[in-house]
Amino acid sequence: MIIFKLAMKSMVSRRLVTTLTVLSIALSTTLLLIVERVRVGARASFVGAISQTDLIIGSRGGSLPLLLNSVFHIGSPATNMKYSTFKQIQADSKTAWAVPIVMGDSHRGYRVVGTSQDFFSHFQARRSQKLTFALGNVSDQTFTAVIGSNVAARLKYKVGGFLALSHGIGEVSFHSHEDRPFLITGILEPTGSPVDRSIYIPLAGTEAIHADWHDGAPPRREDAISAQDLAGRTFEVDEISAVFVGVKSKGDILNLQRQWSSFRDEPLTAVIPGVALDELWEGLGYGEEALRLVAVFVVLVGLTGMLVSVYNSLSERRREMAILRSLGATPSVIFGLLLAEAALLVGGGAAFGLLLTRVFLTVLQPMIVNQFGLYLTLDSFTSVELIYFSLILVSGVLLGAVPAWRAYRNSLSDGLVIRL
Amino acid sequence: MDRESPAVLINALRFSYSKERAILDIPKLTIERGERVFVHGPSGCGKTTLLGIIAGILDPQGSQVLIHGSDLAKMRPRQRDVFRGSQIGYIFQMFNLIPYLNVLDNITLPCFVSPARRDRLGSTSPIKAAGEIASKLDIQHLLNKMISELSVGEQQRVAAARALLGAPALLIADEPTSALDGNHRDEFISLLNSVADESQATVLFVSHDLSLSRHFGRQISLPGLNVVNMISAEVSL
Repeated sequence: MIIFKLAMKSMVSRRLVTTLTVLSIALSTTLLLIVERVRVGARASFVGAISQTDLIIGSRGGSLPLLLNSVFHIGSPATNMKYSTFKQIQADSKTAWAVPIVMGDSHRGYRVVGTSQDFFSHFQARRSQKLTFALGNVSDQTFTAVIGSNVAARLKYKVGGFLALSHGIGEVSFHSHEDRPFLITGILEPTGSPVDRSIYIPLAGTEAIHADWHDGAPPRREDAISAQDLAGRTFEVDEISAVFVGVKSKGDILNLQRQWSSFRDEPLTAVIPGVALDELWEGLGYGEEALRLVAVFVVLVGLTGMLVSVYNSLSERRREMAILRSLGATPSVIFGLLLAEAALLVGGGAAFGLLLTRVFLTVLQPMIVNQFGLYLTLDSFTSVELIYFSLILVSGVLLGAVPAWRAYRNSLSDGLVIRL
Repeated sequence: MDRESPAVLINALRFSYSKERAILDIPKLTIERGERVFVHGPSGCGKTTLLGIIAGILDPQGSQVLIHGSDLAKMRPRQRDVFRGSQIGYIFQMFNLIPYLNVLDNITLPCFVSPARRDRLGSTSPIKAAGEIASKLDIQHLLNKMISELSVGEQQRVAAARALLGAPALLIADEPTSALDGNHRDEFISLLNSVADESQATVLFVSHDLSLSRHFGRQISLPGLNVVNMISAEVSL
């Protein structure tokens, strides 16, 4: 106990160096823990981009392009599938629900997804989170849109405002559908998934804006149909990009995948999103490892700072050590004193790091979700984080043994007080 | 520990920091228990070295150095540390107080690093014992002050209190009065001896100021280079 008391009072007497050392360890710990949260959050955001959807079915092609296109809205499908096929999928006895999506247009760089109202009741993102509306709701009117939280925040859009779609998916488009604006009727809550960066319009809307187009080209001005006329019409959907499917029994997933992959009327690809996303993330695992590596090096730098601090203080404290030995403190006590000091420094630093992590996560989480679409959980500390915390403590104490050993040796070789 | 043996018994001590010359060459030196011994000599004559050897701080280099019958030469460094903590109170020339501890913590420190010192207090707590000894040295009002707030004279008394707490059998004082003027020197030595009397401690006091010798029962001279004969001559008195 006296050892810890002495170590504590000694550190307090060198409060500036002690504070800087503790701060350095705290920041290293915070970085390590936040990187771990980002890693877990990135994985969760990626793998959880879609949840409770058992199959994604699209026209024949690679499963990866289908996944990237339908879930992450990256790229465009090479070909579409027939809407009639969707109806068959929907009518299948094993299908619980089926939601069609159509991709193709965009708005200021954000992808526009044509879908049915069922999308909002069945599609789930991270951790089986159902889509909920922060403001407004979905409408059954043709020229209406629901926008993701990120779109609303970045573009400062509100319910009741209008947006015009652009043909194609680039930020710069050669054709804008400005004559057919969409009324924003709802803004979704953040999900930490691509939904936040998407605009959802009715399937009819995707057909309506291209109703007077011929062979992929816009009509001449005099042939164009006004938005008012289009709004009153009903539209037949011919093609869609993909279908999200939920099955009634999880045991049927593989059967259904085989069934639709070998569908005779139309060549299709069916992927199980959970498995495919996991595989894809594993393939990108080097990024995760790189993150970890950077964080570990940061911690090493922090601990080295502590080592340097304790080591440097030794020179100033030879007299103190000598006094203690003159009073009967054995070399083991001197060793223990410096080890206790290292333990207090690293323990204090790591604990402060835990606290800082908590504060950072609490304060920055909403901004990170909005800006980066990355959902960092605010759960209590995970077992991995507690393992990191323990490893930092153990490493710090082990590193502290280096100056402690030097002090132990010094006190033996130098003797005491004669040259004080 | 042998209760009949002298406080200090040195036989054939030859000590050197280098191979060229011995700084101390003492055929025999005996200091009985309870004696008040004054060791004097000019700077560099080996006074502090002799104290360092008696206190087990310096290795006796194979010579026989018995403190209360225990041979320091046969002890390992760690054992010497424990023995010193238990049996010897040391007042340093520069006091060597720990600056980040307050007066009370400095005084009680030996009891926390040496269980034997603590045990000798019996049921009295180190804090209470420190208070009592501080009262005797007239520093009881300074117990909660930091060392940097004290005058030299006050620091000296704190160093003495630390050395005396737990009643060590041998009290070694290495020129503790060098920073004081004449009146304060006499006053301090009288105080030290009276407190040491209560615990029946042997006192070994070093100074180059021969005028202080009147406070002590015996004096040993260590004049510079001609150590051997003078030590022998003085010891044989």
